[in-house]
Amino acid sequence: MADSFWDRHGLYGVMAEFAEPEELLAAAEKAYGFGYRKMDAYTPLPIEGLSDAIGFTRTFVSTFVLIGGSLGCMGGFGLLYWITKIAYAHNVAGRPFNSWPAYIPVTFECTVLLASLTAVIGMFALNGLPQPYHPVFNNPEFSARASIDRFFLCIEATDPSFDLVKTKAFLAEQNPLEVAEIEK
Amino acid sequence: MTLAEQFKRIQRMAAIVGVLGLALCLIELFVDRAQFFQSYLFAFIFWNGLTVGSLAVYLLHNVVGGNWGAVIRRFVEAGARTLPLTFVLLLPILLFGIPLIYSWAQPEAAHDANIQFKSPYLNIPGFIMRAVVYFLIWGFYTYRLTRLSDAQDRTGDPMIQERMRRLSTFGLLIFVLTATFAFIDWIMSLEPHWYSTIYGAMFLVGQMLETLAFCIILLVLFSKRKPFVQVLNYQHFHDLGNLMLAFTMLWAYTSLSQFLIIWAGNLPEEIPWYIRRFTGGWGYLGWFIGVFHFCVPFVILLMRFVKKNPNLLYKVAIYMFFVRFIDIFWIVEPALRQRRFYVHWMDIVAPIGVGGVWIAFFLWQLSSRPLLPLHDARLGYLPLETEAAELT
Repeated sequence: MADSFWDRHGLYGVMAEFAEPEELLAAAEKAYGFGYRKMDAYTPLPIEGLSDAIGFTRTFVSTFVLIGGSLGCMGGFGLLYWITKIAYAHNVAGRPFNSWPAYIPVTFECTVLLASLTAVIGMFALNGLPQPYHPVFNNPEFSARASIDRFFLCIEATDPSFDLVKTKAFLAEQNPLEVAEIEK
Repeated sequence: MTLAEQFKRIQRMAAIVGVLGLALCLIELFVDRAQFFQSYLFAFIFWNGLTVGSLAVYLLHNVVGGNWGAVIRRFVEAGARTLPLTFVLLLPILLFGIPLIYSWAQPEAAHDANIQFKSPYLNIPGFIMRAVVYFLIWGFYTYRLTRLSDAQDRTGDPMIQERMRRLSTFGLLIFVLTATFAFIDWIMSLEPHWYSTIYGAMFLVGQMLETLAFCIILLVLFSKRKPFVQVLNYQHFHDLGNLMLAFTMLWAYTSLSQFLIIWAGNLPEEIPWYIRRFTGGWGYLGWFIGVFHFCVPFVILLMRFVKKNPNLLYKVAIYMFFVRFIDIFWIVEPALRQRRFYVHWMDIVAPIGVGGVWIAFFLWQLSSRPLLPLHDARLGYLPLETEAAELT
């Protein structure tokens, strides 16, 4: 344990730089097939199928939104039910106290409100933003061009099958422009 | 069997079913003429909905673009080009049916002050003339746009897309107005005392939903075939599934708006529309539509894997098509059935007869032109290439 910790201390991962999106996509698919799981791809533009290639197939934001929306729905309906049926039960134009059609607009608005709030908050909670420091920026090439015209794949040192020598060799085979070690 | 032969075979089958169905309906013409026209109107509204909905989706896509529409463009073009047929199908109602189903055209209406007040609009010559004008306007846009589309196939001139867009922008405006008036004439005036301002939008959205479901069914059926297999990917189905979800929600939104306002007002000239549709057994149908036309498809279509899987989406589209059928039945027929729920055998046979003829005509139109537009820039959509090209 101590030995491996020492080995990996100070190393965030190994990063390969590609000139074309197709190369990054192919490398990501190979890396996933090779058994790497803890990795991330960085590109200046959305690439179809890339998130699938690195095994990022599912986020929990949609689950949060579903829960938030359901709570908003029940909350909005419950609020109006409580007001018109229990707390302030007044006869309005001879309608029943529980006049559910009149609740629908408020119920709908509360659903949308809570769903969108959980979407925003859940997104921030899950993607770790705001993040003032990230190791990948230690690579000067990355800082300079990752948001302009270069495509990067970083296999992280915390991956169980990570091995500095083997992983570097693996990435070097994927036709990159450069392979770099990234400090923590 | 080649695609052309298969087309011919299905077309012939549909035509035979259609003609047999309509012939069977003629029996009812001698038994109970009012009943015949009640069911025939329902059948006409349902299948004409595909024609009108096709034109609506076509105009909309010409204006807003998107590659979902490029793959169904020939379907909606062929759908809109069934206008001559649906006009012929409307003729029996125009020529013989009006006094039998529309209460404002019956002798008792002479003693009704409310209807008398509306008679400058609700009269038989006006009704016929307006119907002709609607079809002329819709036909003009269909003719011009599909001619431009043909020219695009021949020449590949990229400016044609722009010309179609410009024509459709104003066309969409005219179309929504004429469609609103058409629905007011044909369906809303079944209950001449009643009115609702969102009615046209509600009906049009429903018919566009019907058309989208129809196009998805066709697209999945064709998806393994030659021109389609090269361009289709799951993104097209995802987009169309999302559109179907959006139109399901829009349908619910307009339907509920109408219901909520009328329910809250509870006024004697407005509420009978819902009383007729929620008493005497019709209420079961109303609740069925609320649950199975909105709640169930809404939850199903929220799930992404359904929209990305053509086989699942196909089943949902067939289901939506079926529920649209029931919804139109529930909107049209209670007006004519005196708060008593029943399904006449004509209510099933007439839509089959009209539908058979419609499908045969539609397939004829579809097979007379290439199944995919030949020079639509939106078909060769490759996100990687286009976006990388923009960067450099």
